[in-house]
Amino acid sequence: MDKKKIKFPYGIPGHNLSEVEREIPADEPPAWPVNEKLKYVGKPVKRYDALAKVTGRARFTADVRLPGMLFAKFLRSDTPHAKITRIDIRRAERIPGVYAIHIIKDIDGNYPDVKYAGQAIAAVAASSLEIATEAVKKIRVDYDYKPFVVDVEEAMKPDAPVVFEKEIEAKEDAGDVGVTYEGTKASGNLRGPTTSSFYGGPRGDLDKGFKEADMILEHTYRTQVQTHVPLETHGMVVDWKPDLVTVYASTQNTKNFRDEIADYFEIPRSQVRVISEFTGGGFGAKHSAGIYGPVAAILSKKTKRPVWLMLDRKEEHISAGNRPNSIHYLRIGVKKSGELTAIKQVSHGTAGVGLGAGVGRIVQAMYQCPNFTTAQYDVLTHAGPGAPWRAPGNVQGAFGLEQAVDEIAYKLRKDPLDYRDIIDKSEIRKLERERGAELFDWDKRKAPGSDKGVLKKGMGVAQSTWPRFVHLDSTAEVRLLNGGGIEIRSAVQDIGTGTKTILAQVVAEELGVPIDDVNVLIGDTFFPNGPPSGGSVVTGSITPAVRNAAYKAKMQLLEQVAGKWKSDVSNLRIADGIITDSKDSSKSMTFGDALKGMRTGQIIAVASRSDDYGGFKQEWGLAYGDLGSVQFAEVTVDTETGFVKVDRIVAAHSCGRPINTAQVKSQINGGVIQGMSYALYEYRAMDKETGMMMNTGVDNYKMPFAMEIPDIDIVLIEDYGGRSSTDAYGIGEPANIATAAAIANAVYNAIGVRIYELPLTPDKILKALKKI
Amino acid sequence: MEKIKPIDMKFCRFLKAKNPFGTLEGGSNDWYVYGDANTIYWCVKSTGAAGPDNGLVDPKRCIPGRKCYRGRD
Amino acid sequence: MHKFSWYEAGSVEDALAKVNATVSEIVGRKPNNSSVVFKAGGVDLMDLMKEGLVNPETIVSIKSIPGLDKIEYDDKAGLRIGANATLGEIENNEIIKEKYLALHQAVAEAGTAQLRNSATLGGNLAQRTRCWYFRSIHHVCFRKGSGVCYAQHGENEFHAIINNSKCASVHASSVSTALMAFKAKVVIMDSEGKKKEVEIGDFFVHPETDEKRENILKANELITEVVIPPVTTGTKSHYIKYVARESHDWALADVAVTLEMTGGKCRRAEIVIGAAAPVPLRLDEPAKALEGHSINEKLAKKAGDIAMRNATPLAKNAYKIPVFRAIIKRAILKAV
Repeated sequence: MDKKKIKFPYGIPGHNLSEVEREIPADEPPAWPVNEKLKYVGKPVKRYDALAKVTGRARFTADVRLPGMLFAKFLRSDTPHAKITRIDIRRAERIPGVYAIHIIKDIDGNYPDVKYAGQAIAAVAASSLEIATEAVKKIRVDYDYKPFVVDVEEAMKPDAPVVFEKEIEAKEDAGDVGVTYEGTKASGNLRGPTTSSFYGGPRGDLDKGFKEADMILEHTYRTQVQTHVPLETHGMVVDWKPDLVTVYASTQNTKNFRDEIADYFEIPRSQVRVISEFTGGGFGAKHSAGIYGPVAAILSKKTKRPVWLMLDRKEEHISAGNRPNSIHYLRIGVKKSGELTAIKQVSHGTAGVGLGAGVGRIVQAMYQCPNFTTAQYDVLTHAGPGAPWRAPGNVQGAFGLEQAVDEIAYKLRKDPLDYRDIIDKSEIRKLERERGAELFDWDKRKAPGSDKGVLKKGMGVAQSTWPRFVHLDSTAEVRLLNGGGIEIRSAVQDIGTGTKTILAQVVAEELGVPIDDVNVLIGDTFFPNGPPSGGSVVTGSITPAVRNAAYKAKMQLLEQVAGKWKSDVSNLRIADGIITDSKDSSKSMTFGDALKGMRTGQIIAVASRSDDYGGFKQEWGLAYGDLGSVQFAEVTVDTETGFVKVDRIVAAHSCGRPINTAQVKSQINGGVIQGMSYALYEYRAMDKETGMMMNTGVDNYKMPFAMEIPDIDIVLIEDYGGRSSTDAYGIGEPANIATAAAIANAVYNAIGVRIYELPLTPDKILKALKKI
Repeated sequence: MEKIKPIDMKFCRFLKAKNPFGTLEGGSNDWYVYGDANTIYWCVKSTGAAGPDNGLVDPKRCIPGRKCYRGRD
Repeated sequence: MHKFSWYEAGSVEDALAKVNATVSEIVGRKPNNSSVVFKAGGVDLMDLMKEGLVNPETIVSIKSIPGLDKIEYDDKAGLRIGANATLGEIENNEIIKEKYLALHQAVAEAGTAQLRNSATLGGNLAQRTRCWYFRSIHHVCFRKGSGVCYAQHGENEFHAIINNSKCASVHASSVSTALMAFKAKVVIMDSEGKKKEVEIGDFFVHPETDEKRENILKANELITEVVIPPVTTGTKSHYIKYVARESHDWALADVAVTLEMTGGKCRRAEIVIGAAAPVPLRLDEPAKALEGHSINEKLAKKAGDIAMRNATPLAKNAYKIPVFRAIIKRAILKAV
């Protein structure tokens, strides 16, 4: 491939901005200057679909109505562990308006083992949701009840009921209940440990490291199970036609949703079309077609009618995902100088009936420490499966690590910020600490517990690291239409983060046209593959693709104009929708006129995310650098009642080149609020006696409302690296990682006692203060 | 780093995974499972964390020999 | 939610002639049970129906019965609030704010603005507990006649700390905490047109007396109004609701205090706490401790300490003890 060498802005404006030369593919656009010199990119441009959303015109999946459509409802188990002996649907079938009942079966045609309360057993499709719900109640299920365990510590005991008790039947090997990652036989509910990540495995010599230490800090940190509460629950409408299955889905990943539906039925992927015009949040739990996807499709296929299937809030809590809990042990060796000599990490957590309850890579990656080991165990329990949630594992990990670092700083009599300067080599976080501290008035921080009186104020800080991931299967198409019209097409979905808006900004910037002229058509698998909305990959993956496509389309159009003007394309410029010739001031044409003069009806250009300029750190898309963040919290603790109020958060963040500063700030606000909710309010209240989640309502699954939201001030640092044609990255996950730890550190600063367990409820505060 | 290539491991075509950088694809893309404790696994056929044989969905177990295993061809 | 028919009652008599069951009586009954129940604002009834706990055949709406929403005040007779007055109307009543501050505060902190515009005073008093075991269709708890209180050894962080050995639910009406402090009376009319006035403390029924009901209402009875005696010019009051979230939450603990002050001394005191026991609790001993004295922090603290002397917390709700001590003390000091 042809290459060219160009210079890109490099570093941080106002700090160390310079230039870097990169060799890039010849068909990619020239380097953009820093945001200050751009017209649309880097500006707080109004959300593309704001009007549609605030007027209710936006059509979410639950709003889809098709002719002849049926409504489906799941029957779910009301016991956590059982063998189903009989299902009787006769009374349900007889109800007028019931069209079909699907009963889920295993590979042998038997009813699958029930492994958690809320597991789907069957589903009914009927002419209304009310009839479907009524019919579900009329289905009789006989169970052979079995002992169960929902508590992570109980599940680890040798005599605990086992979640996967049956041996896996194997044709070739002996088979057993499972294997650990070391290859040994798993016992009971324990799986693991995982001892490595994509940053590598253990490093150095732990024993040697602890011997070198002057001080050893050792604690166990605990976090709770948190369940996803996107405004829009999981669900879909599926319209099964013999030639094409059309699916309207609430999803973070249109492409994977399509693939799963096609693969389930073993039909070509081209025979399934997934459309997600609007998705009302997901936070990680909407990557799969789930159980509702295939079941809705089966019902549609069976009845030859479109089928609507959305989960209700209770189903969402019990079955659609959660952030696993953690029991997180850290042993850290420290020299008098503050240098870390060794970190030993061991964790146990439960993702219910599934795997994935680790504590992330933050302990491994954030600070300089030559000797490190981790052992992260999964504990299976009879509870709903975990799902990815905004920086999976790392939020749990950060709660432990950042409290530990805070505690070490206090023990060494160092300011927690100064202390991080010693052990954290990240340039961007150092600057975030400086700028954040100034805005926050960190200097006003007092000694722990020194406030007189009942109400005590405290200040705390915590920080995070998140990798810059890039998803290479990210493609966009830009169309210029004769007679007017600019279109962006990609399967990438906008789950509420503002993807549509940033795509319009990038194309308007590249084409030099007003932003309102750009139409964004995304969230449809009939368009080229887009990235999943996970891993904070969307902005960094799809904006370079769409800019490159816009550039290619523009060059084709300008070639035509240049031909007419008998000029060279390199002389042509576009600004504010006007094309001019830098060599001949008499030549001028509106972009609209240029479109009208096209030789063909349309110009179509397609481009994909290319490898990072200068290459990736890992060939599959792990980029250099990180998305560092530093968050400061100020709290007030009522020492008589244990009530904690978060007064203020300062969040200092970077995400390469910010594309839309208003949306980046919105994302950070959302991450902070979600982190605060995790710190103080949310937890799954699981009844041990019945194995059921008790707080499945909006009133008792406590999340913050307006009065709980603190003042949030944001420091946003532009950080250029010359890595792609937009040099942009996401922000969704970094915004959420440090908040709970910052609040916990602020609570310590307020009351002088450290609390090692989330959420920080009045109960825990009062216990810490020995008032109970 | 523990990095497992699907070709080497002969993973079941219905094994799916989501780790922090995205959804790992069976079939169309060459994909990797990293020894990462935050990867969530599920089976496309059983649509859950328990497989069609009621056993745990786990890259260590969703390999040839298991009753519900299906190759990628 | 099961299908039901709707009847719009034109008068109290009309409504009483139709209804054949209280909502509490039909908890757990299967659909098609020919039951006819009242609906005022519908806030609590909807929740119970959505969970499938009650499946009435017919709902008699009393919301548009004329004259049932009046709020009247007379210096001699006191305050009369019609059962259909919404919490929003009570919140915005200037006389209530001036003379019955604790009631105003309790009402203003109930639910959200939207809920207060729908919820009525009668419905608020007659609502069922928010105990999540009671609210779960899957848990046949003590209140549903099984003799088993799941909260005793279960998830009991929001449950009762006093009189909780059989059933640890707490009454959901925080408005009644304030009404009790003002010695309100509930006016109940039956299907024969007879009216009776009941002290609000006698309106609520403890589960140890009858586990299936939370108040004395029978199927042929309807709350028509709540009467509150006039207050002396020296009467001061204050209400505090302690919640996890200030925006909108059920009380974790609440307290209403009224103090009749003369010559700088407390002549009479009423202290009522909610979310502490299965019914709102009038605290006689702590109130007595205040009477005859001028109020100071030490005395207020003493009242709070006495109040919690006999608490029997469960595994996860001992935090309520220091919380009650603190809010009782604060409410007394604020009232003065």
